Parts: sequence; C-alpha cells; structure tokens
Amino acid sequence: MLTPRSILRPTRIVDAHCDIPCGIYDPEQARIEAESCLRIIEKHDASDDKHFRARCVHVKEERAELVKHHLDVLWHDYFKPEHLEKYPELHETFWKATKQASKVKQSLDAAAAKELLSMIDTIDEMWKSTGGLEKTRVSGRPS
Amino acid sequence: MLARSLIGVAATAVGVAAALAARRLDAVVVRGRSMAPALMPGDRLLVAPRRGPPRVGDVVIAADPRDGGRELIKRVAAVEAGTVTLLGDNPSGSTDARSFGPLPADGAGWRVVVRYWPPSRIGPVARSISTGREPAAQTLSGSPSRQP
Repeated sequence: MLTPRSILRPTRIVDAHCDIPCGIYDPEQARIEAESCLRIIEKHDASDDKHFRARCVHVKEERAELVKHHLDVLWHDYFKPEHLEKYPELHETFWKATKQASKVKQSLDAAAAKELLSMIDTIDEMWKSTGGLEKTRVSGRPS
Repeated sequence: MLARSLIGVAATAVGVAAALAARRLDAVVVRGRSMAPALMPGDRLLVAPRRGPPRVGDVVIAADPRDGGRELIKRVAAVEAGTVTLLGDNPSGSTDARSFGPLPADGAGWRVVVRYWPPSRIGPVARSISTGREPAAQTLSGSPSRQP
C-alpha cells in the first residue's frame, strides 16, 4: 500500500564516495619526528667525528621535512572550517610551526628544536579539544 | 489561512507521490562524507531526471565509471564538450574526477531537487560550496608546489 512513509523511503543509495577515508590523524606523529631532530642535534654537538656529524645533519633534515609533512596533513585534512571558528589563530599557528620546522631543518640550533616541540604541543591541544583523540584514533592513544 | 496552507501541503504531497510513482522523481539516501558539509551521510533527497545540460554547481548522480553498480553523488565542477567533471565538496575525503577524469555528460542523469530528511535541514541543497574554501573546480588544476 502507498503510505507517505513508503513513498519517501529511499529506493537508491547514492555514494558521496571516498576510496580511502582513513581518518587517522595525530600530532604525535609530527612530535616524534621533531623529538628526533632535537636528539640528533644533541648527538651532533656531543661528537667530534666528522663523518658522524655529517650523518646527523643529513638525518635531521629528513626528520624535519617529515615534521612539515605531518603538520601539513593535519592542517589540510584534519582541521575543518568549524575548528577555525573555535581557533581563529589556527592558520597562523600552523604557518609558524611549519616555518619553525624549516628553521630546524636548516640549523643545528637545539633551542629552535625545543621551540618547535612547544608549537606542536599547542597544535596537540587544539586537536584534543576538537575531539581528535576520540574521533581520529582507533582506540585513543596507547597508554 | 491555515486550511489553505494545509490544502497546499496536501496538494504538494499528492504531486510528489504521483511523480514518484511515475519515476519522474526518486528518493535516495546519501552514503559517505565526500559532499560534506552540503550533504551529510544519511541525508535523504528527492532527485529528478535532469532536463537540459548540466550546469557548474549542480549536484548530480552518475554511475561510478569504475563500478557501474554504484551511483556517485558529486558536484559539477566543469562542463566541456559533452563531458562533466565531477568533484566532491570535501576534497580530502572524496574520490572523484581527480581519479577517474571527466565523464560523459549524459551519464550524470539525475539532479538533486530537495533534501527532505533530516527535518532540521529540509530544503534546497546549496548550489555552491559554502565552507570558505576555494571553489572545488580549482582543485583539479593540480596542487600548488610547496617551497622548501
């Protein structure tokens, strides 16, 4: 029988489709790479082996590049327009943090690496307070 | 006044029922988030066969070129030489023309008329993206290069 309910029951599913909406985001990924940068700078400074120091510079630049990559992914993919309403300084924060990562990539300044960590922590707070921990990890952060 | 608006509602309901029965309208449900925030998962829409050529900004339904059994709902980002470029409003969560290229315009056979569920969002579906981002059409021209 034709009832309003039966008439308006959808007959087709239409897909607002995405192949891989993995949806896993965590600033911890950027933080681990940034911590690597800090440690490598310390190891570099403690060594007088030319070859080892050259390797430190090389690896630190790779890690710093990964920091930028992970921050970019958070910025583009995790944070949404409604988050910008809550944190109007969001763009500025990411811009400064990725610039700081460039600075760490270019220099051997441990203070710069520490500053980068604290900037990532600011982003981590934004991620947590927008529900990132509950929404984007499979079962929160491992304890 | 009240009686007149009730008659109006009843007439609309009869009209919708007749159109549904004749397949000049169909009711569909949205799955996935690639059209967020304009369309959310679970939104129910009345759709109609498209008359006239598709226009940029229209939300249309087209068969998935990689899986004919599936119908995609996306926005027309460009119309050119008998083809349409379909993109999701939410580029980071959408598989669309960036993966499968333009489609024959004839394939985008249905257009969205109105959202009828959930009750809080009954009404027309925005013809353009309203998130303050660049228009989706521009995302196809390649991502800007990043300076070191």
